[in-house]
Amino acid sequence: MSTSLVVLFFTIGLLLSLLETRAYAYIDPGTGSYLFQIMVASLIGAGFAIKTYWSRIKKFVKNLLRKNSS
Amino acid sequence: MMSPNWVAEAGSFRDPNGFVFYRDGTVYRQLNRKHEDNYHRLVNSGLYESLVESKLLVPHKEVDVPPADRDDCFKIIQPERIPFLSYIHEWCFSQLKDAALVTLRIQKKALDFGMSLRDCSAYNIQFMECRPVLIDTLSFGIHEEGQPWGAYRQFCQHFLAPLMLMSRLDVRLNQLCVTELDGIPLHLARTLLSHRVYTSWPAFLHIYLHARFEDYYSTRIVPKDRSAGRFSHYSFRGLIDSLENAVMRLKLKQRSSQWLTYAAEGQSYSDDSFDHKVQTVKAYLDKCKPTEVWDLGSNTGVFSRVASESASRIIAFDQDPYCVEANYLQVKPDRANILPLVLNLSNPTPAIGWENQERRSLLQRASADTVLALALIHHLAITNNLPLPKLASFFAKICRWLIIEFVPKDDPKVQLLLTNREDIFPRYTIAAFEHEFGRLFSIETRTEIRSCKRTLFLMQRLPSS
Repeated sequence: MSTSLVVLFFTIGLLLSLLETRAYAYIDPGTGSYLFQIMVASLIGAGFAIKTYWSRIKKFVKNLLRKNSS
Repeated sequence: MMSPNWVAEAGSFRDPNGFVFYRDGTVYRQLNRKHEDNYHRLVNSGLYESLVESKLLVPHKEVDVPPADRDDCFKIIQPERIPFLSYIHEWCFSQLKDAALVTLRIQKKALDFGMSLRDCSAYNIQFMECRPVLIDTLSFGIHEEGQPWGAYRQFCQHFLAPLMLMSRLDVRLNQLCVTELDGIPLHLARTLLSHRVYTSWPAFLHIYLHARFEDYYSTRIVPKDRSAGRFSHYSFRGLIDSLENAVMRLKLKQRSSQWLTYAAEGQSYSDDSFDHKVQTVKAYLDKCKPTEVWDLGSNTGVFSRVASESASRIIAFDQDPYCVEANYLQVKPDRANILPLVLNLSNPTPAIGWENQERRSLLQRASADTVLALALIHHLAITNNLPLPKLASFFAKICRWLIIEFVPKDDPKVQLLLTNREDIFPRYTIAAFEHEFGRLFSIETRTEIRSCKRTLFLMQRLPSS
């Protein structure tokens, strides 16, 4: 993993740790997990869609570049 | 109303959709009315058939037996019986990894059929013919489009967190599951992984951020509309794909241990004496005609493979997770009838969970026809200070036939054990061994191993013991 990504994760982590809350509460911790999935849904979904259609995207871009150059 | 003559499975009570029970020694699962639609979808959609065909789900048949709880019963099914239930804290790294990947494969297949796993407990996965299979038919629920995965947190706690800890920190950290019944809590995994959560995307996403959200919302009430229907098909597939990639990338850093090289180096036997030992063990096994053999202190399973020619099931226990790993990787391609498991005999798996009954201890789960205890007794007696009468009593509890090797005090390996300590074992002699074991077993035959000071014994438990 590149150093810049490590620095990015670390910075996000540091910022989140400023909002630290300790969790020994009554509410089911599953709620956080549920909302977390919704929060990252678009990121994960977009990543998966790109991965699934990667070969088609590549082909499309190649064709586009070929048309432009000719 | 409850029917008589049935016994509830002590570890099957948390799911309101049904439970496991036993009647006349046969295992059944009651499906409650609440689960009717889910079961119909599982069977009628073709998902059940597809999973059983791929050997991902334990097969069952619908039976007409009196239900355990008549008031709520929709159907009784009889699943194929799992010969020996093993637990996450007894698995080596690759067993847990394979169990995780099978769970995700099942989830992907379930989504194809409009269903989803309602829970993701590692206790729902068991090994049959060295293959992880899901045993909980009740786990499947109809997937509501737009809903996130309800079992995501449990998957991370039961599979991803222990695998990451085993891979990045120490292979023994799945032992935390002995005290953490519902997998390793994410905030604990986050603390233990420390700065490592910043060096990998899966650890950052599925452990660190996930734990942060869990902590944050555990003290806040969330309006219902905030958590409704925003998880697309691509997001769901993406989540499973992300978890699958995370699990697949995890590897064990260290691959070797003192015990892993022990058998390969053949330190205790010449070729001739080793061959003699193998032939003697085979001859003893022919006499016992066992169905199930437990190979205690199996190392990488050399004698488990010898025993597998005579018995239909072998459980190969060793305390070294690297030996169990090597054994599992060796037997896995052949789908052999050997189940390698991690077990420290001087501190065997305890009973855990509600009333100490949800997950059974080793001795509560089963016993074997025949036990192999080869090159083991000196480690128990000398390294662990276990007196011979206690050892005899333990073996009498777990087996009918015992094939045991006595390693005398003048053996180089025992001398090595005594190098840096006082010899406080005047009773550790072959005469005392025969005397103490003779109280509980009849000694059928004994063979001195050629060119070696060790002796093999074949013993049968006395009817009175």
